[in-house]
Amino acid sequence: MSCWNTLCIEPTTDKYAIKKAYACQLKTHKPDEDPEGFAILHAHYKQALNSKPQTLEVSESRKVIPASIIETLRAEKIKTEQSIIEQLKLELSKAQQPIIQYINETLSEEHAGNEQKNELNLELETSKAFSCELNFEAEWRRLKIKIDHVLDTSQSASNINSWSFLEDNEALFDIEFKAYASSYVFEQLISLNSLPLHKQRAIAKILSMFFRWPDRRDLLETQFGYKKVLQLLGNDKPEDKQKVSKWVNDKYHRGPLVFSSYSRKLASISIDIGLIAIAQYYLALIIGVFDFEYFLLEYALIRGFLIYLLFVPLFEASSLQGTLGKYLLNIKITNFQGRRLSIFHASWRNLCFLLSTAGFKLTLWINIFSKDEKLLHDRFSRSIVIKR
Amino acid sequence: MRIIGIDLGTTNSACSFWSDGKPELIPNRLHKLLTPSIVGVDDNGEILVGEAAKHRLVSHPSHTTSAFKRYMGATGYQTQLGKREFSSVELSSIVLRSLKEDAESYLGERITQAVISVPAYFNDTQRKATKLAGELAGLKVERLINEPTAAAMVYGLHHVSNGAQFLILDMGGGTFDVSLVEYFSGVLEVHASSGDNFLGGEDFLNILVQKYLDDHSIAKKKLSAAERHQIIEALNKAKHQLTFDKSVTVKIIHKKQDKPWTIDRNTFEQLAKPLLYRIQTPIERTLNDADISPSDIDEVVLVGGATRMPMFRSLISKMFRRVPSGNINPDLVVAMGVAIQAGLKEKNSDLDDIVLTDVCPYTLGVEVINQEDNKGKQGGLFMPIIERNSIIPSSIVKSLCTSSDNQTKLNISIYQGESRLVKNNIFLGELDVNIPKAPEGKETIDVRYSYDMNGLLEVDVSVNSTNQTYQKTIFNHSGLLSEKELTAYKTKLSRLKFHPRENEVYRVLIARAEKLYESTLGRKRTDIGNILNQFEQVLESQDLKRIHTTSKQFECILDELEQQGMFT
Repeated sequence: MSCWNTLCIEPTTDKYAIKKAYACQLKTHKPDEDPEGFAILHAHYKQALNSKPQTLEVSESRKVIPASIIETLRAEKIKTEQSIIEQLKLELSKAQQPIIQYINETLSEEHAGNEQKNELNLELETSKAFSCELNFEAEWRRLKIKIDHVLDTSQSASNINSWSFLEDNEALFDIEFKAYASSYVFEQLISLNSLPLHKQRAIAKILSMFFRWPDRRDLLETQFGYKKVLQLLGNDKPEDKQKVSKWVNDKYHRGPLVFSSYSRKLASISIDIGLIAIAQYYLALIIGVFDFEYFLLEYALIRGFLIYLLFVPLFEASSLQGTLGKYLLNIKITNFQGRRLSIFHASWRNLCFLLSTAGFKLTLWINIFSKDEKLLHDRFSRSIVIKR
Repeated sequence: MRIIGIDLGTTNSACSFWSDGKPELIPNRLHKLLTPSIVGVDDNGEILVGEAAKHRLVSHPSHTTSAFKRYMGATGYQTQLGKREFSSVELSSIVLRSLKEDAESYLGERITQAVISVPAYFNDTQRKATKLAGELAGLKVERLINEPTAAAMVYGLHHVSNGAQFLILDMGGGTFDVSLVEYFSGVLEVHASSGDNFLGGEDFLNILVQKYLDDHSIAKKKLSAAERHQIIEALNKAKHQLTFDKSVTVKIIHKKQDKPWTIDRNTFEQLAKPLLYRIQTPIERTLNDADISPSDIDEVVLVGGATRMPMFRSLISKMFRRVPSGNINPDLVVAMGVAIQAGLKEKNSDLDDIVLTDVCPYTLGVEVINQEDNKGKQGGLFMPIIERNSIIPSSIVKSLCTSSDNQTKLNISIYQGESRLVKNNIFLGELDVNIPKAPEGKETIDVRYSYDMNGLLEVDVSVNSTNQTYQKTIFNHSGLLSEKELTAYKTKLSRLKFHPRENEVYRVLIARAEKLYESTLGRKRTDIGNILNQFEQVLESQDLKRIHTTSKQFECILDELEQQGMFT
């Protein structure tokens, strides 16, 4: 095999020899000096490490919960409620007998200094609280009965207090034990077909606080499949969804600045002009001056411009960050840094808008040649129109 | 050329270098090893850094800022200091500059190169921002090193026996990192790394503050900035005290509080439970990725100030069934490790046979079309290119093809994260590629991701039929700086006035007195005011000898007053 050539040793299963050879070769292929050589060396090193027969390793580790016990436990599950409760009582009485051995670790003498001594005393104090050798099998049997019992009735399962035994359980601090318990509970919860979906989700929500399922979503997905996780935990980041519908926005834009297209901007302006026209109509109705002389097109245009200059900057500087038309089309106005405009900045922007609209032909020509989707008034007033 | 190592922390920073076979820490102008990462502007518009600024948090809250590392790389996040606005990058560069000056006066030579540490779980944008901060401070950043890796180097080099696996748990002021490291015959290999960028001592402090406010029914919004900082400071001291005592009593620090407030360790632990659960997740993930069981780990090492908390230690002891080791000062160990890396970069002969390999802590990939998604609810799928915990430097190519007939443009969106859907991952940047017209699936492009030792990503795209190539070094818009902008940044910073170094000691004393003045009442307050006035008069006299003696006396008085301070 070529990996042995790279490492310059004979094929071996001795982990230590492989590591030593790797360390030796690494001195000539340092990762920052010879990245390619290093990549090859590392790949071969991993290959060499994995090539050894794995019997030793497997039998040594993973001694926490043997699979056979779990299988027999599952078979035992079909029992009457009476017997479960009886057994629970029995197990709980057992739990009162101490199965704890205190740790007596001799600490090395090299640490000096008052503060550190103090710390070490503290450590000993805290370490007394945990056991060195918990009986995991018994512990698991006990825990499983409790879990099954709580999951049996929907009232107890959706009550947060009935799960409090999880927090008190000493063994659940162990990483592997907790991971196992977590996937067991998850599996049980999925298979609870009798419960309606919203109840299952409510229970999952309670348990998520303890097992932190949303954080390890990807692990659960590989174990149970994407669909099932989605079914139980719902969509990711529900809080983000709420934000979209919220009226008040943050002062800064979050996420990438995506420029809005010309057509979208045009559509938003048309909506605004429409709104102003309607507003004018009702204004005229209210004042009762439905006189044709004052409602001629020229007057209306001038009034429209005035309304525009008065209200639009207010809208743009508000937390809406744009006129109603822009809000409806899901775009907003910010400065180059993604920050909300100030009222002066917004007024300046709209003055620029009116000026550039007056030179409409010129604006059009400039924008035909530059394709960065920025209009002339945005260019002058140093602001941008982006997607919300 | 001398290269210095800098540990740029959320609450404290430190500076170090490699000297004669061992890492050495550089004391700052006040002869302390830790410099608080706090920046302030004083009444004359001069910039204050460190201890002096820290004391001014209470007396001048609107002119001082702390914990800005939390917003590193955030788009458009600006802090208002007096009249000017600063970004996190600028504030960090001010701290770095101050550390650099300390190093220069200590070593007596000009320093232009540095190695800076970052949390392992910092993403690309945050790393770029840190690098930029270094450059603005006039330091060429030779390497960004992960904080747990730096700590592992210190522990690894102390270890004599061959072949040891360490689990490094690094909880500082604002971030929590986990790294699994193996050390054998001079090779320090990081196997897996994970973390939480928003979990640190500050979060535990916030819980305590919230509890205090709830107990006295104070609305957080109604607090003035000065009151808030006063409460935070008192409770921070209380939090530290809880490490040694079972319960702590805080004196009256707010007008709504009518009697001393007592908090005991158990209550604090109950309140902090949600945070403790969050600690478990990254640890579990690391062990899972490295495919190792807790019993295979030789030593669990605690790094960072927040790991001093008894509840943290007891949790770790329970999780691993052993006492974690933290016999090197957890505040300084990262700085020492950074010095080793600086020594490596200098190609020091004492470090000749040390090699360090690191991993990329998160998955990097591109967006691909989700064909099952008919309703448009899920959005694009995430295709991993560099898997998390693959060894770096790493360079991986994947092919992509067109999805419709006669497609002329292909958009490559670069994402980072673990979720199956891109919308739940972090967007890093994008790149448009022009391709010739062809039927669906005919045209292919190669996307190459190169991840270097600093944790920075580069993307190369080549179109197979035309041999056109495109390249992108990932920048978010905030990090995207042209030469011109960089010089603009630099001139902005060079225009800032810094407080003269030699007066810094007196500045700190004044700031301390001002803080005491704010937090006391009645006769004591007027006394402090009087002493402060006297001291300022002496300072104006410019009589060096007299200043020296009065400052000594002044310090003694302040020490005494502070002793009587917070706790009963």
